Amino acid sequence: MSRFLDYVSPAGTNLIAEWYCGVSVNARAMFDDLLEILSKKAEWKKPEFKRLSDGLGEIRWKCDDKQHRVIGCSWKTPSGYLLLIGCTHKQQIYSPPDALVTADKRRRGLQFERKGNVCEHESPEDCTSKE
Amino acid sequence: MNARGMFVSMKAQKIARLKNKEYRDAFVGSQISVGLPFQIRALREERGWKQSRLALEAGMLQPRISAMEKPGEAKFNLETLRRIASAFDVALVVRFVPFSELIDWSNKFNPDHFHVPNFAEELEGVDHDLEVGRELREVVGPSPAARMGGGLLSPRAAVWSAAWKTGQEALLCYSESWASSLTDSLKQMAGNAPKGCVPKGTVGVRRPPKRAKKKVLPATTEQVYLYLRAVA
Repeated sequence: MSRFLDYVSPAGTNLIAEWYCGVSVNARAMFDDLLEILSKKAEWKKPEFKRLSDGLGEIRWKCDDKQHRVIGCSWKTPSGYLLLIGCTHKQQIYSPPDALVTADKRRRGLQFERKGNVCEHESPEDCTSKE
Repeated sequence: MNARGMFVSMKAQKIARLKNKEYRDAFVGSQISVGLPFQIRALREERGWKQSRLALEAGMLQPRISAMEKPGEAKFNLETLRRIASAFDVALVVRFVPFSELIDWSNKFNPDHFHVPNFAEELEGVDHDLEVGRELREVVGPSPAARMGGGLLSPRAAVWSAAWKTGQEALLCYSESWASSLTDSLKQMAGNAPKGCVPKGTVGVRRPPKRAKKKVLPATTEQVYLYLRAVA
């Protein structure tokens, strides 16, 4: 069973929870479902997961006519998966456009500079105030 | 946190989120737009089919199947689902249920272990069980109920009457993994099992201790059930 972790910024903000609260409720419910299913699957593959370069990977789903992506990487144990950034994707371009670079920076920051932190994945119960 | 702890935590978080009406509605939608693609792919892969084969069987184009297997990509309608069910030769259930049932389903659903036998497979199993049921009947003879003029008994009464007839103790137990494959009647039977039954994950008919030696009939749940149905 996979265990999901969230990236926490050096300032102490859970940036995955923040991203989660910024997307539509439909996208949130789908993301929660996807994580639950992926946590049970032995092998992750297309179309819901795609391996990117440098050990990064993205969880993929479509909601409200938008292609949503959450970029992450394996973390510490084979079953640990760190969620680094949430974004959208259209015609080969991420939004924010530097999502991949940011994901890589965050991972390297954690690995080599002890910048930022990780915590157990959390899908906030009440995002209404942050939407 | 271990796997069990994480599972409990995920479940608790899910229930807390579902207190929000908007999220509840989205959850129902997501069980369709995320859950169905995984179901379809699991059924296809289980049969060793390529998307083109499923497309052929369902009378659709392969790109449509591809879209249906992507979370959120396809808009499903009942006719599409009916055609997919027909292609796999499985049944399709569309019904309104309480949220607890949907949550339960979503918690248990695992695409790696999602198996739905097609009609031919089911029939094969029933034929085999009927045969064993007939053999059992020959060995054990008719039940008291049958001798008293037949008539249908409740599953529980049928179990006890069969146990009485055979001088054996009926033990009904079931394991969780296995319960999913039981019919409602069997679940009811298992639910009515006496306290202290042996939780071995099987339903069987056993000789009670300190009794004269009699032939023990090892039987699967389905065999016992079919036997009971045959004699009741």
